[in-house]
Amino acid sequence: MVRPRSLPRAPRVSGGRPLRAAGGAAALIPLLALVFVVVTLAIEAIPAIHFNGWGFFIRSAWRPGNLYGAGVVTSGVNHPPGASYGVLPLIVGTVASSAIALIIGVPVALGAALVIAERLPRRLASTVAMFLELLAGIPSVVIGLWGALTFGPIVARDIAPILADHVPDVGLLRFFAGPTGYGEGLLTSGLVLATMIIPIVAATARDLLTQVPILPKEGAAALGMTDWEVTRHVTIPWIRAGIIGAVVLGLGRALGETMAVAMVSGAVLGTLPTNLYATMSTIAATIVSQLDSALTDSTGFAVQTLAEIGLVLAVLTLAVNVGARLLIRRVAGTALPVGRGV
Amino acid sequence: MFTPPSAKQAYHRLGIEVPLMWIANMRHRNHDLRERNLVGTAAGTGSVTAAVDVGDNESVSMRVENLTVGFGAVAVLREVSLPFPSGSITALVGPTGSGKSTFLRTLNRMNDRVSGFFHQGDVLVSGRSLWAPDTDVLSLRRHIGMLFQRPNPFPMSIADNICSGVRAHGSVTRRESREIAERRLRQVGLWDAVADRLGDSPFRLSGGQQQLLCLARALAVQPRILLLDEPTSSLDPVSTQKIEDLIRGLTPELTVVVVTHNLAQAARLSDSIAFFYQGRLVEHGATEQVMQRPREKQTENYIAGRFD
Repeated sequence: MVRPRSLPRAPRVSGGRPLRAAGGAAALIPLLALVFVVVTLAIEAIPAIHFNGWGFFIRSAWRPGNLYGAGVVTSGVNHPPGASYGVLPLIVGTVASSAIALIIGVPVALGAALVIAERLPRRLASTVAMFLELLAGIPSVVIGLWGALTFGPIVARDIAPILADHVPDVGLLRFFAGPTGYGEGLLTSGLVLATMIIPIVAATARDLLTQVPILPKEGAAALGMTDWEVTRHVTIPWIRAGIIGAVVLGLGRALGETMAVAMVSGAVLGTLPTNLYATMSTIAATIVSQLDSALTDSTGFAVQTLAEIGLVLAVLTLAVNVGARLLIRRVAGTALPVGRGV
Repeated sequence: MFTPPSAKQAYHRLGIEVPLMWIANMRHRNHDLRERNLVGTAAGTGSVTAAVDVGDNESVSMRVENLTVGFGAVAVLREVSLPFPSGSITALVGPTGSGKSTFLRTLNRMNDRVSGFFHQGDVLVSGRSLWAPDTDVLSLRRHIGMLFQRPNPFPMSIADNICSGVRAHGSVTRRESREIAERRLRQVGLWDAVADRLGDSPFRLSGGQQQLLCLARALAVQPRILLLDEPTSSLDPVSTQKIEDLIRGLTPELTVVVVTHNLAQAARLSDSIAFFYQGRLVEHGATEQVMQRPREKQTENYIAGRFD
C-alpha cells in the first residue's frame, strides 16, 4: 500500500511545547521554593508559637532551660524545664542596626552615585563604579572579620568615646551616652552593615541616574538653577521611586545580614541594648550563633523557637517590602513620566 | 567638502561635563548665592541684577560681535556678528549642522557646561559682556529664558513646574505660587485645560500642552530675552500655531531669538532672518528681504529647498 506523503507541517513558533514547559517550570520553581521554605518553617515553629504565645514579642529572656533533664509537657508542647524565650531584644537589635546602616549608608551611597554619574569624567566614573561593584562582592564573613579585628577597635577607641562625651544629656539623646564598650555592639554592627549596603544602593542609584534624560536637566539649568538645585528638583525626583527601591534592597540586605553582624554584635542574648554602644544581637545572627546549642535540646523546643524567630524575620522583611511598594506607588503619582509625553 | 561637525556630534565626542568645569564654576556658585534674593514674584517684578541692567518692563537688546565658538579643537561657528534689537523676533535658519543651535545655546551660556567649549569675540547684553567676570550665570539664565526642541517638564506637579524657576531664585509663599501658576497658565492659554488638576503630573498632558507648560515656566521667571530652539518641531500644526501666536504676543516686551527648520514659520514669525551655513552667518536681513530677494546664492538655494 502506498502511503500518502505527509504534508509539510506549519513551522512552529519559537520552540513550541518543550520550551514552554521549561519556561513554565522555571517560572514556577522560585515560587514553589518560597512557599516550601515558609511552610516548612511555619510547621517547624508551630509548637514554639503555641508555647511562647504573644508574650514572645515583649519578653527579653533567652533561657533554653535545663537541657539535661527530661522534657516537660505544657499544653501539649514538649520543652525543657525552665525554658523561656523572648524575641523583643532581637527585633530591636535587627531594626536598630539596620536603621543605623540606612541613616549612615544611604546618604553616602547617594552622594557617591551622584558624583560618579554627574561629576566624574566618563573613564574615571566607570573605574570607580567597578570598584563599587567589587565592594558589593566581598563575602560578608570577610567584612565581619574586618569589623571584628580592625574596625571595631577603631570604633571603640576613636568614634564611640568622642560621640558619648559630646552628646547632650537630655531625653532620647542619652541613648548616645554611657559606657562605650569594646568595639562590639550596636554602633559597630550598624556601621559594618552600612559598608555592606553602600555599594548595593550606590550601584543601583548610579544606574538610575544615568537613565535620567538630559533635556529636563538642561531645562532646569536654563532657568538659572544651580547644579545642586537641578539635582534636587529634577534629577532625583525623576528616579525617586527607583531610589526607594534601591534603599529597600539595601535594607533587605541589612535586615537579613547574618555573618558579619554575628561577628561584631557582641552576640549578647536576653537583654535590650542600653545605649548605642551596647552589645546586642539580631535575629539572623542569633539563628546562626544558637543553632548549634539548640540542636542539643533533646525536646527540640530550642530549634522550634529558632524557626519561630526565623519566621518573624521573614515577616519583618516582607512587611518592609510591602511598605516600600506602597510608598513607591504613592510617590510615583506625580513624579514618574507615565502616559503620554516625552 | 569639509563639513563642520554638528554641535551634537561635538557634545558626543567630548562628553557632556568635566570636573574642571565644576571647579571653575564653584566660584560663580558662591557668588550666585549672594546674588540670589533678586527675585520677581507674581505681584512684584524682577529687580535689577548684575547680569542685565535694565528697568522693569523694558526689553533688552543683544549684540553678537565677531563670535567664534567651538568644542575642543573644532570651531563650530566662525566670526558671527549679529544684532538682536530690543523687542524684535529674529529667526535663525540653516541646514542641519550649520551651527545655529550651538549659537543659540551660547547666548545663555548653556554651552559653558559642555567640556572643551571655547569662544572668541563677545556677546553684549544691554552693552555688558556675557562673560564679564562679575556676571552671575544663574541670574543671567533667568533673564535669558529658553524653550527646547521637545517639551521637558520636570517630574513635579503642573503648578510646581511653573513655579520651579521662581522658587530657585527666592522664596515664594504658597499663595504667591498659586497666583504665579494661574497667571502664567492663563498667559499661555492652558489654564482652562489644567485648572482642576494643578497637582497632577505634567506627563499626562499632550505634547503641545507640555510645550505650552514649558513656555509658561520659562515666562514665570520674567525673562527679558527668550531663546527658542525649534520650539514646535515636535508639535502638531494646531499647537504650533498656538505657540507662534503666543511668541508674537510676547514682543515687544521680550526680545526673541528662534531657531527653526521651518522657513514658513520663520517667515510668519520673524522680523529678521539670519541664515547660517557651515558655521558661518551667510546673510542677515529683514524677513521679507531674505525670503524674497536674498543677496547670497547660498541663501537663495536654501530657500528654494535646493539643499538641506
